[in-house]
Amino acid sequence: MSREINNVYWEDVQVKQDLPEKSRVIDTTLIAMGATWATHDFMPVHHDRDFAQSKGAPDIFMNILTSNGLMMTYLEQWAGPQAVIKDISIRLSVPNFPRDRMDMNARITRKWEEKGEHLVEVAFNGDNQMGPHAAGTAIISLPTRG
Amino acid sequence: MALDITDLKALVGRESALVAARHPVNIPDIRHWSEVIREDDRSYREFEKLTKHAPPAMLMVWTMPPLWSPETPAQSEPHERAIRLLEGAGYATGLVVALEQKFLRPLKVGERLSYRVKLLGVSQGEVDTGVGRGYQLDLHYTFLNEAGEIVSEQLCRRVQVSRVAAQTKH
Amino acid sequence: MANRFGVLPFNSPVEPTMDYSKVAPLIGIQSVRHPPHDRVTEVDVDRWCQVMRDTNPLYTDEDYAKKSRYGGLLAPSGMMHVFALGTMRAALDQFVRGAWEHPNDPNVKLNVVIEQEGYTGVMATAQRQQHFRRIRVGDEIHWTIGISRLSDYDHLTRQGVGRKYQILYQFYNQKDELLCNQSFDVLVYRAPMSTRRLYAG
Repeated sequence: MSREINNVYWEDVQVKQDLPEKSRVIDTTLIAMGATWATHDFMPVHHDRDFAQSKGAPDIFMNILTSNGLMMTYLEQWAGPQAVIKDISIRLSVPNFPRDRMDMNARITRKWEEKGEHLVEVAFNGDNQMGPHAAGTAIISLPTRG
Repeated sequence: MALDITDLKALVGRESALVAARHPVNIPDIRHWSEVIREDDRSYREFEKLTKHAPPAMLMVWTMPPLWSPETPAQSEPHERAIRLLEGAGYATGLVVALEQKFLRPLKVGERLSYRVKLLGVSQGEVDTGVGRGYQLDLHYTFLNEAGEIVSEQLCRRVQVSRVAAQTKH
Repeated sequence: MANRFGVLPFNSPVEPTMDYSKVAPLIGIQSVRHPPHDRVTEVDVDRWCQVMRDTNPLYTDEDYAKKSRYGGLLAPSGMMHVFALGTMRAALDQFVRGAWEHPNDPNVKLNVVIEQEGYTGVMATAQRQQHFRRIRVGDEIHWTIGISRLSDYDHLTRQGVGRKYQILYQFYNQKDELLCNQSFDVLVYRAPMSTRRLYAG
Protein backbone atom coordinates (compact mmCIF):
# COMPACT_ATOMS: atom_id res chain seq x y z
CA MET A 1 0.00 0.00 0.00
CA SER A 2 1.82 3.09 -1.12
CA ARG A 3 -0.06 6.21 -0.33
CA GLU A 4 1.36 9.67 -0.16
CA ILE A 5 1.95 10.61 3.45
CA ASN A 6 2.01 14.29 4.30
CA ASN A 7 3.51 15.67 7.44
CA VAL A 8 3.06 19.22 8.56
CA TYR A 9 6.18 20.63 10.24
CA TRP A 10 6.08 23.05 13.13
CA GLU A 11 8.41 25.53 11.41
CA ASP A 12 6.06 25.79 8.44
CA VAL A 13 2.90 26.86 10.25
CA GLN A 14 1.90 30.31 11.42
CA VAL A 15 -0.53 31.65 13.97
CA LYS A 16 -3.80 32.72 12.25
CA GLN A 17 -3.19 30.16 9.50
CA ASP A 18 -6.37 28.37 8.38
CA LEU A 19 -6.46 24.62 7.85
CA PRO A 20 -8.02 23.44 4.56
CA GLU A 21 -11.76 23.01 5.01
CA LYS A 22 -13.40 19.61 4.73
CA SER A 23 -17.02 18.50 4.53
CA ARG A 24 -18.68 15.29 5.44
CA VAL A 25 -22.17 14.24 4.38
CA ILE A 26 -24.17 13.24 7.45
CA ASP A 27 -26.44 10.32 6.60
CA THR A 28 -28.08 7.47 8.46
CA THR A 29 -25.18 5.17 7.62
CA LEU A 30 -22.59 7.48 9.15
CA ILE A 31 -24.65 8.06 12.31
CA ALA A 32 -25.58 4.41 12.85
CA MET A 33 -22.20 2.95 11.86
CA GLY A 34 -20.36 5.67 13.79
CA ALA A 35 -22.27 4.80 16.95
CA THR A 36 -22.36 1.01 16.79
CA TRP A 37 -19.67 -0.20 14.44
CA ALA A 38 -16.92 2.33 15.12
CA THR A 39 -17.52 3.44 18.71
CA HIS A 40 -19.51 0.56 20.32
CA ASP A 41 -22.19 2.97 21.55
CA PHE A 42 -25.42 1.00 21.44
CA MET A 43 -27.72 3.65 22.91
CA PRO A 44 -30.70 3.16 20.55
CA VAL A 45 -31.23 6.90 19.85
CA HIS A 46 -28.14 6.66 17.62
CA HIS A 47 -29.25 3.75 15.43
CA ASP A 48 -32.98 3.09 15.85
CA ARG A 49 -35.20 5.77 14.30
CA ASP A 50 -38.36 4.44 15.97
CA PHE A 51 -36.71 4.56 19.37
CA ALA A 52 -35.31 8.06 18.79
CA GLN A 53 -38.73 9.32 17.77
CA SER A 54 -40.35 7.72 20.81
CA LYS A 55 -37.94 9.83 22.88
CA GLY A 56 -39.05 13.02 21.13
CA ALA A 57 -36.15 13.42 18.71
CA PRO A 58 -37.05 13.96 15.03
CA ASP A 59 -34.57 11.26 13.93
CA ILE A 60 -31.49 9.36 15.08
CA PHE A 61 -28.60 11.69 15.88
CA MET A 62 -24.83 11.44 16.07
CA ASN A 63 -23.17 10.30 19.31
CA ILE A 64 -20.45 12.40 20.90
CA LEU A 65 -17.71 9.86 20.23
CA THR A 66 -18.35 10.02 16.49
CA SER A 67 -18.39 13.83 16.55
CA ASN A 68 -15.14 13.88 18.50
CA GLY A 69 -13.70 11.23 16.18
CA LEU A 70 -14.57 13.18 13.04
CA MET A 71 -13.00 16.35 14.42
CA MET A 72 -9.85 14.55 15.61
CA THR A 73 -9.54 12.76 12.28
CA TYR A 74 -9.90 16.06 10.46
CA LEU A 75 -7.03 17.53 12.51
CA GLU A 76 -4.83 14.43 12.28
CA GLN A 77 -5.36 14.02 8.54
CA TRP A 78 -4.11 17.57 8.15
CA ALA A 79 -1.14 17.21 10.52
CA GLY A 80 0.08 13.80 9.38
CA PRO A 81 1.10 10.64 11.22
CA GLN A 82 4.00 12.17 13.14
CA ALA A 83 1.74 14.65 14.94
CA VAL A 84 0.13 13.85 18.30
CA ILE A 85 -3.03 15.43 19.69
CA LYS A 86 -2.26 16.14 23.34
CA ASP A 87 -5.43 17.80 24.51
CA ILE A 88 -8.81 18.35 22.89
CA SER A 89 -11.89 20.16 24.23
CA ILE A 90 -15.15 20.02 22.35
CA ARG A 91 -18.48 21.72 22.97
CA LEU A 92 -21.62 20.42 21.34
CA SER A 93 -24.67 22.40 20.32
CA VAL A 94 -26.89 21.58 17.30
CA PRO A 95 -27.18 17.78 16.83
CA ASN A 96 -26.12 16.08 13.60
CA PHE A 97 -29.17 14.45 12.00
CA PRO A 98 -29.37 12.49 8.73
CA ARG A 99 -29.72 14.45 5.48
CA ASP A 100 -27.25 17.08 6.67
CA ARG A 101 -23.66 18.02 5.99
CA MET A 102 -20.92 19.02 8.41
CA ASP A 103 -18.38 21.59 7.26
CA MET A 104 -15.15 21.46 9.24
CA ASN A 105 -12.66 24.27 9.53
CA ALA A 106 -9.88 25.21 11.92
CA ARG A 107 -7.34 27.96 12.58
CA ILE A 108 -4.02 27.98 14.39
CA THR A 109 -4.34 30.22 17.43
CA ARG A 110 -1.04 29.69 19.26
CA LYS A 111 2.42 28.28 18.56
CA TRP A 112 5.04 27.55 21.22
CA GLU A 113 7.69 25.19 22.58
CA GLU A 114 7.32 23.42 25.88
CA LYS A 115 9.46 20.68 27.47
CA GLY A 116 11.10 19.92 24.15
CA GLU A 117 7.80 19.63 22.31
CA HIS A 118 6.73 21.82 19.43
CA LEU A 119 3.12 22.69 19.94
CA VAL A 120 0.29 24.50 18.24
CA GLU A 121 -3.19 25.25 19.47
CA VAL A 122 -6.00 25.15 16.92
CA ALA A 123 -9.56 26.37 17.27
CA PHE A 124 -11.92 24.20 15.23
CA ASN A 125 -15.55 24.20 14.16
CA GLY A 126 -17.90 21.64 12.70
CA ASP A 127 -21.01 23.35 11.38
CA ASN A 128 -24.10 21.71 9.94
CA GLN A 129 -26.92 23.35 8.01
CA MET A 130 -28.72 24.30 11.25
CA GLY A 131 -25.73 25.93 12.92
CA PRO A 132 -22.69 24.95 14.97
CA HIS A 133 -22.55 21.25 15.81
CA ALA A 134 -19.15 21.07 17.48
CA ALA A 135 -16.55 23.66 18.37
CA GLY A 136 -13.43 23.48 20.41
CA THR A 137 -9.69 23.71 20.74
CA ALA A 138 -6.91 21.18 20.46
CA ILE A 139 -3.23 21.19 21.33
CA ILE A 140 -1.17 19.30 18.76
CA SER A 141 2.49 18.34 18.98
CA LEU A 142 4.08 18.67 15.52
CA PRO A 143 7.32 17.23 14.14
CA THR A 144 10.16 19.61 13.27
CA ARG A 145 12.38 19.69 10.20
CA GLY A 146 15.51 19.65 12.42
CA MET B 1 -30.33 2.31 -21.46
CA ALA B 2 -31.84 -0.72 -23.13
CA LEU B 3 -30.45 -4.07 -22.19
CA ASP B 4 -28.56 -6.00 -24.86
CA ILE B 5 -28.98 -9.58 -23.74
CA THR B 6 -25.99 -10.72 -25.82
CA ASP B 7 -23.69 -8.52 -23.68
CA LEU B 8 -25.05 -10.25 -20.63
CA LYS B 9 -24.80 -13.74 -22.16
CA ALA B 10 -21.19 -13.13 -23.13
CA LEU B 11 -20.28 -12.95 -19.45
CA VAL B 12 -21.77 -16.34 -18.57
CA GLY B 13 -19.19 -18.94 -17.65
CA ARG B 14 -16.54 -16.42 -16.76
CA GLU B 15 -14.92 -16.27 -13.36
CA SER B 16 -13.51 -13.37 -11.36
CA ALA B 17 -9.99 -13.01 -10.05
CA LEU B 18 -9.40 -13.89 -6.40
CA VAL B 19 -10.53 -11.31 -3.88
CA ALA B 20 -8.72 -11.44 -0.53
CA ALA B 21 -10.39 -10.85 2.84
CA ARG B 22 -9.49 -7.63 4.59
CA HIS B 23 -8.73 -9.44 7.84
CA PRO B 24 -8.04 -13.04 8.80
CA VAL B 25 -10.70 -14.98 10.68
CA ASN B 26 -10.51 -13.22 14.04
CA ILE B 27 -11.82 -13.11 17.59
CA PRO B 28 -13.26 -9.57 17.67
CA ASP B 29 -15.45 -10.18 14.63
CA ILE B 30 -16.56 -13.53 16.06
CA ARG B 31 -17.39 -11.87 19.38
CA HIS B 32 -19.36 -9.02 17.79
CA TRP B 33 -21.25 -11.47 15.58
CA SER B 34 -22.00 -13.82 18.48
CA GLU B 35 -23.25 -10.95 20.61
CA VAL B 36 -25.76 -9.81 17.99
CA ILE B 37 -26.77 -13.11 16.38
CA ARG B 38 -26.54 -15.52 19.30
CA GLU B 39 -27.04 -13.17 22.25
CA ASP B 40 -23.78 -14.55 23.55
CA ASP B 41 -22.54 -12.12 26.21
CA ARG B 42 -19.30 -13.81 27.18
CA SER B 43 -16.27 -11.56 27.55
CA TYR B 44 -13.58 -11.14 24.92
CA ARG B 45 -11.16 -12.99 27.21
CA GLU B 46 -13.34 -16.08 27.13
CA PHE B 47 -13.55 -15.89 23.37
CA GLU B 48 -9.78 -15.47 23.17
CA LYS B 49 -9.27 -18.51 25.39
CA LEU B 50 -11.90 -20.87 24.01
CA THR B 51 -12.66 -19.97 20.41
CA LYS B 52 -10.57 -21.85 17.86
CA HIS B 53 -13.03 -21.87 14.95
CA ALA B 54 -15.48 -19.42 13.41
CA PRO B 55 -19.19 -20.22 13.22
CA PRO B 56 -19.84 -21.55 9.67
CA ALA B 57 -22.58 -18.96 9.15
CA MET B 58 -19.89 -16.27 9.31
CA LEU B 59 -18.28 -17.55 6.12
CA MET B 60 -19.28 -14.59 3.96
CA VAL B 61 -18.44 -12.09 6.70
CA TRP B 62 -14.71 -12.42 6.16
CA THR B 63 -14.67 -11.31 2.56
CA MET B 64 -17.30 -8.57 2.72
CA PRO B 65 -16.23 -5.33 1.04
CA PRO B 66 -15.34 -2.47 3.40
CA LEU B 67 -17.72 0.36 4.27
CA TRP B 68 -15.16 2.78 2.89
CA SER B 69 -11.68 2.54 1.43
CA PRO B 70 -9.34 5.20 0.06
CA GLU B 71 -9.05 3.16 -3.14
CA THR B 72 -12.11 3.01 -5.36
CA PRO B 73 -12.89 -0.60 -6.28
CA ALA B 74 -12.69 -1.27 -10.02
CA GLN B 75 -15.99 -3.25 -10.21
CA SER B 76 -14.80 -4.86 -13.44
CA GLU B 77 -15.18 -8.58 -12.70
CA PRO B 78 -17.61 -10.52 -14.94
CA HIS B 79 -20.37 -10.83 -12.32
CA GLU B 80 -19.96 -7.16 -11.37
CA ARG B 81 -20.22 -6.17 -15.01
CA ALA B 82 -23.38 -8.27 -15.41
CA ILE B 83 -24.93 -6.57 -12.38
CA ARG B 84 -23.93 -3.16 -13.73
CA LEU B 85 -25.48 -3.91 -17.12
CA LEU B 86 -28.75 -4.75 -15.40
CA GLU B 87 -28.56 -1.72 -13.13
CA GLY B 88 -27.96 0.47 -16.16
CA ALA B 89 -31.08 -0.98 -17.77
CA GLY B 90 -33.17 0.03 -14.76
CA TYR B 91 -32.99 -3.15 -12.69
CA ALA B 92 -31.35 -1.22 -9.89
CA THR B 93 -32.14 -3.35 -6.86
CA GLY B 94 -30.26 -6.59 -6.27
CA LEU B 95 -31.51 -9.19 -3.82
CA VAL B 96 -30.24 -12.66 -2.97
CA VAL B 97 -33.22 -15.00 -3.04
CA ALA B 98 -31.50 -18.32 -2.52
CA LEU B 99 -28.22 -19.47 -1.10
CA GLU B 100 -26.83 -22.98 -1.02
CA GLN B 101 -23.71 -23.25 1.09
CA LYS B 102 -21.38 -26.20 1.31
CA PHE B 103 -18.95 -26.02 4.23
CA LEU B 104 -16.08 -28.38 3.65
CA ARG B 105 -14.56 -27.78 7.07
CA PRO B 106 -14.73 -25.25 9.91
CA LEU B 107 -12.60 -22.12 9.55
CA LYS B 108 -9.75 -21.69 11.97
CA VAL B 109 -9.02 -18.41 13.72
CA GLY B 110 -6.09 -16.83 11.86
CA GLU B 111 -6.89 -18.21 8.40
CA ARG B 112 -7.13 -15.58 5.68
CA LEU B 113 -9.72 -16.33 3.03
CA SER B 114 -10.06 -15.38 -0.60
CA TYR B 115 -12.91 -16.03 -2.96
CA ARG B 116 -13.74 -16.03 -6.63
CA VAL B 117 -17.13 -15.80 -8.32
CA LYS B 118 -18.28 -17.44 -11.53
CA LEU B 119 -21.37 -16.26 -13.37
CA LEU B 120 -23.11 -19.59 -13.99
CA GLY B 121 -26.13 -18.32 -15.85
CA VAL B 122 -28.70 -15.61 -16.44
CA SER B 123 -32.41 -15.95 -17.10
CA GLN B 124 -33.45 -15.95 -20.77
CA GLY B 125 -35.31 -12.71 -20.27
CA GLU B 126 -37.39 -10.92 -17.71
CA VAL B 127 -38.98 -13.37 -15.30
CA ASP B 128 -41.40 -13.13 -12.42
CA THR B 129 -39.54 -13.51 -9.17
CA GLY B 130 -40.89 -13.50 -5.64
CA VAL B 131 -39.78 -9.90 -5.30
CA GLY B 132 -40.90 -8.47 -8.62
CA ARG B 133 -40.16 -8.77 -12.36
CA GLY B 134 -36.52 -8.83 -13.29
CA TYR B 135 -33.49 -10.89 -14.20
CA GLN B 136 -32.09 -13.83 -12.36
CA LEU B 137 -28.35 -14.42 -12.01
CA ASP B 138 -26.79 -17.64 -10.75
CA LEU B 139 -23.42 -17.19 -9.13
CA HIS B 140 -20.95 -19.79 -7.94
CA TYR B 141 -18.61 -18.74 -5.14
CA THR B 142 -15.45 -20.60 -4.24
CA PHE B 143 -13.74 -19.79 -0.94
CA LEU B 144 -10.10 -20.72 -0.38
CA ASN B 145 -7.59 -20.26 2.40
CA GLU B 146 -4.11 -18.82 1.90
CA ALA B 147 -2.74 -22.26 1.00
CA GLY B 148 -5.21 -22.53 -1.88
CA GLU B 149 -7.30 -25.14 -0.09
CA ILE B 150 -11.02 -24.87 -0.91
CA VAL B 151 -12.97 -24.41 2.31
CA SER B 152 -16.44 -23.70 0.98
CA GLU B 153 -18.52 -23.48 -2.17
CA GLN B 154 -21.78 -21.65 -2.60
CA LEU B 155 -24.51 -21.29 -5.13
CA CYS B 156 -26.21 -17.95 -4.95
CA ARG B 157 -29.29 -16.90 -6.89
CA ARG B 158 -29.57 -13.18 -7.18
CA VAL B 159 -32.35 -11.20 -8.82
CA GLN B 160 -32.12 -7.68 -10.16
CA VAL B 161 -35.48 -5.92 -10.19
CA SER B 162 -36.58 -2.41 -11.01
CA ARG B 163 -38.93 -2.24 -8.05
CA VAL B 164 -39.22 -4.55 -5.08
CA ALA B 165 -42.72 -5.96 -4.95
CA ALA B 166 -42.70 -6.53 -1.22
CA GLN B 167 -45.66 -7.96 0.60
CA THR B 168 -46.23 -5.63 3.50
CA LYS B 169 -47.79 -6.63 6.78
CA HIS B 170 -49.56 -3.30 7.16
CA MET C 1 -31.44 23.56 51.63
CA ALA C 2 -30.91 27.03 50.31
CA ASN C 3 -27.83 27.89 48.35
CA ARG C 4 -25.11 30.08 49.73
CA PHE C 5 -27.09 33.25 49.02
CA GLY C 6 -29.93 31.96 51.15
CA VAL C 7 -32.45 32.20 48.34
CA LEU C 8 -34.04 29.76 45.95
CA PRO C 9 -33.74 31.75 42.74
CA PHE C 10 -35.27 29.56 40.09
CA ASN C 11 -37.48 27.19 42.00
CA SER C 12 -41.15 27.58 42.65
CA PRO C 13 -42.21 27.48 46.32
CA VAL C 14 -43.75 24.03 45.86
CA GLU C 15 -40.56 22.71 44.34
CA PRO C 16 -37.75 22.75 46.90
CA THR C 17 -34.21 22.80 45.63
CA MET C 18 -32.11 19.65 45.82
CA ASP C 19 -30.53 18.77 49.14
CA TYR C 20 -26.85 19.03 48.33
CA SER C 21 -25.84 16.95 51.36
CA LYS C 22 -27.38 13.91 49.66
CA VAL C 23 -24.92 14.13 46.80
CA ALA C 24 -21.87 15.71 48.46
CA PRO C 25 -20.31 12.33 49.39
CA LEU C 26 -20.40 11.30 45.75
CA ILE C 27 -18.24 14.17 44.52
CA GLY C 28 -14.52 13.78 44.04
CA ILE C 29 -14.15 10.02 44.29
CA GLN C 30 -13.36 7.64 41.45
CA SER C 31 -15.05 4.27 40.98
CA VAL C 32 -13.20 0.99 41.12
CA ARG C 33 -11.31 0.15 37.96
CA HIS C 34 -13.49 -1.51 35.33
CA PRO C 35 -12.19 -3.89 32.66
CA PRO C 36 -12.93 -3.17 28.99
CA HIS C 37 -15.45 -5.02 26.85
CA ASP C 38 -12.97 -5.61 24.07
CA ARG C 39 -9.24 -5.63 23.63
CA VAL C 40 -7.92 -2.95 21.26
CA THR C 41 -7.64 -4.85 18.00
CA GLU C 42 -6.67 -4.16 14.42
CA VAL C 43 -10.20 -5.12 13.38
CA ASP C 44 -11.91 -2.56 15.60
CA VAL C 45 -9.37 0.12 14.70
CA ASP C 46 -10.07 -0.58 11.02
CA ARG C 47 -13.82 -0.14 11.57
CA TRP C 48 -13.18 3.26 13.15
CA CYS C 49 -10.88 4.32 10.32
CA GLN C 50 -13.43 3.32 7.68
CA VAL C 51 -16.16 5.37 9.35
CA MET C 52 -13.92 8.38 10.02
CA ARG C 53 -12.15 8.00 6.65
CA ASP C 54 -8.85 8.07 8.48
CA THR C 55 -5.87 7.03 6.35
CA ASN C 56 -3.16 7.51 9.00
CA PRO C 57 -0.80 4.57 8.31
CA LEU C 58 0.05 4.25 12.02
CA TYR C 59 -3.42 2.78 12.44
CA THR C 60 -3.79 0.52 9.42
CA ASP C 61 -0.41 -0.13 7.79
CA GLU C 62 1.50 -2.61 9.93
CA ASP C 63 4.80 -2.29 8.05
CA TYR C 64 4.76 1.47 8.34
CA ALA C 65 3.82 1.34 12.03
CA LYS C 66 6.59 -1.17 12.81
CA LYS C 67 9.19 1.15 11.31
CA SER C 68 7.81 4.20 13.15
CA ARG C 69 9.00 5.32 16.57
CA TYR C 70 6.12 3.37 18.13
CA GLY C 71 7.28 0.03 16.73
CA GLY C 72 3.77 -1.24 16.06
CA LEU C 73 0.18 -0.39 15.23
CA LEU C 74 -1.61 2.25 17.29
CA ALA C 75 -5.26 3.08 17.77
CA PRO C 76 -6.50 6.65 17.27
CA SER C 77 -6.59 8.49 20.60
CA GLY C 78 -10.21 9.38 19.89
CA MET C 79 -11.03 5.70 20.44
CA MET C 80 -10.11 5.98 24.13
CA HIS C 81 -13.69 5.85 25.35
CA VAL C 82 -14.81 3.17 22.88
CA PHE C 83 -13.55 0.26 24.91
CA ALA C 84 -15.14 1.56 28.11
CA LEU C 85 -18.62 1.52 26.60
CA GLY C 86 -20.83 -1.44 27.33
CA THR C 87 -21.78 -4.32 25.10
CA MET C 88 -25.03 -4.09 23.17
CA ARG C 89 -26.79 -6.02 25.96
CA ALA C 90 -25.39 -3.72 28.67
CA ALA C 91 -26.46 -0.61 26.72
CA LEU C 92 -29.99 -1.89 26.17
CA ASP C 93 -30.22 -2.87 29.85
CA GLN C 94 -29.20 0.64 30.83
CA PHE C 95 -31.06 2.79 28.32
CA VAL C 96 -34.19 0.74 27.71
CA ARG C 97 -34.62 -1.16 30.97
CA GLY C 98 -32.87 1.25 33.37
CA ALA C 99 -30.54 -1.40 34.83
CA TRP C 100 -27.01 -0.06 35.10
CA GLU C 101 -24.03 -2.36 34.67
CA HIS C 102 -22.06 -0.81 37.55
CA PRO C 103 -24.67 0.31 40.13
CA ASN C 104 -22.06 1.28 42.73
CA ASP C 105 -20.31 3.88 40.59
CA PRO C 106 -20.68 7.46 41.89
CA ASN C 107 -22.25 8.70 38.65
CA VAL C 108 -24.95 6.02 38.84
CA LYS C 109 -25.75 6.87 42.48
CA LEU C 110 -25.85 10.55 41.54
CA ASN C 111 -28.26 9.79 38.73
CA VAL C 112 -30.64 8.08 41.14
CA VAL C 113 -30.78 11.19 43.36
CA ILE C 114 -31.02 13.54 40.42
CA GLU C 115 -33.98 11.67 38.97
CA GLN C 116 -35.73 11.52 42.34
CA GLU C 117 -35.29 15.28 42.57
CA GLY C 118 -37.10 15.72 39.28
CA TYR C 119 -34.19 16.56 36.98
CA THR C 120 -35.34 14.22 34.26
CA GLY C 121 -33.72 15.90 31.25
CA VAL C 122 -30.10 15.05 30.46
CA MET C 123 -27.79 16.74 27.99
CA ALA C 124 -24.06 16.32 27.33
CA THR C 125 -22.59 19.71 26.51
CA ALA C 126 -18.82 19.37 26.32
CA GLN C 127 -15.95 16.95 26.48
CA ARG C 128 -12.22 17.30 27.07
CA GLN C 129 -9.57 14.66 26.58
CA GLN C 130 -6.00 15.06 27.78
CA HIS C 131 -3.89 12.40 26.15
CA PHE C 132 -0.73 11.32 27.95
CA ARG C 133 0.12 8.14 26.04
CA ARG C 134 -0.88 6.51 22.76
CA ILE C 135 -3.16 3.48 22.62
CA ARG C 136 -1.42 0.44 21.12
CA VAL C 137 -3.16 -2.38 19.30
CA GLY C 138 -3.31 -5.24 21.80
CA ASP C 139 -3.90 -2.98 24.82
CA GLU C 140 -6.60 -3.63 27.38
CA ILE C 141 -7.94 -0.25 28.48
CA HIS C 142 -9.26 -0.18 32.04
CA TRP C 143 -11.19 2.81 33.28
CA THR C 144 -12.60 4.57 36.33
CA ILE C 145 -15.38 7.12 36.53
CA GLY C 146 -16.17 9.83 39.05
CA ILE C 147 -17.99 13.14 39.49
CA SER C 148 -15.48 15.95 39.76
CA ARG C 149 -18.00 18.71 40.44
CA LEU C 150 -21.70 19.47 40.70
CA SER C 151 -23.21 22.93 40.87
CA ASP C 152 -24.65 23.64 44.32
CA TYR C 153 -27.44 25.83 43.01
CA ASP C 154 -29.86 25.75 40.10
CA HIS C 155 -29.08 27.40 36.79
CA LEU C 156 -31.72 28.84 34.54
CA THR C 157 -31.06 27.33 31.13
CA ARG C 158 -32.87 27.25 27.82
CA GLN C 159 -34.00 23.74 28.72
CA GLY C 160 -35.34 24.69 32.15
CA VAL C 161 -34.01 24.85 35.70
CA GLY C 162 -30.97 22.66 35.92
CA ARG C 163 -27.73 21.54 37.50
CA LYS C 164 -24.40 21.11 35.80
CA TYR C 165 -21.96 18.41 36.69
CA GLN C 166 -18.71 17.09 35.36
CA ILE C 167 -17.80 13.45 34.94
CA LEU C 168 -14.15 12.45 35.03
CA TYR C 169 -13.06 9.30 33.24
CA GLN C 170 -9.54 8.01 33.69
CA PHE C 171 -8.19 5.46 31.25
CA TYR C 172 -5.30 3.10 31.97
CA ASN C 173 -3.60 0.41 29.93
CA GLN C 174 -2.84 -3.10 31.20
CA LYS C 175 0.45 -1.84 32.65
CA ASP C 176 -1.46 0.67 34.81
CA GLU C 177 -0.10 3.59 32.83
CA LEU C 178 -2.51 6.53 32.72
CA LEU C 179 -3.42 7.09 29.07
CA CYS C 180 -6.00 9.83 29.29
CA ASN C 181 -8.13 12.03 31.54
CA GLN C 182 -11.48 12.75 29.98
CA SER C 183 -14.00 15.16 31.41
CA PHE C 184 -17.57 15.26 30.29
CA ASP C 185 -19.94 18.12 31.10
CA VAL C 186 -23.56 17.24 31.67
CA LEU C 187 -26.62 19.40 32.21
CA VAL C 188 -29.59 17.84 33.99
CA TYR C 189 -32.78 19.87 34.10
CA ARG C 190 -36.35 20.03 35.25
CA ALA C 191 -38.62 20.82 32.35
CA PRO C 192 -40.21 24.26 33.03
CA MET C 193 -43.48 24.19 34.99
CA SER C 194 -45.37 25.80 32.13
CA THR C 195 -44.25 23.09 29.72
CA ARG C 196 -45.00 20.40 32.23
CA ARG C 197 -48.52 21.69 32.78
CA LEU C 198 -48.97 21.65 29.04
CA TYR C 199 -47.88 18.03 28.86
CA ALA C 200 -49.94 17.10 31.91
CA GLY C 201 -52.87 18.14 29.75
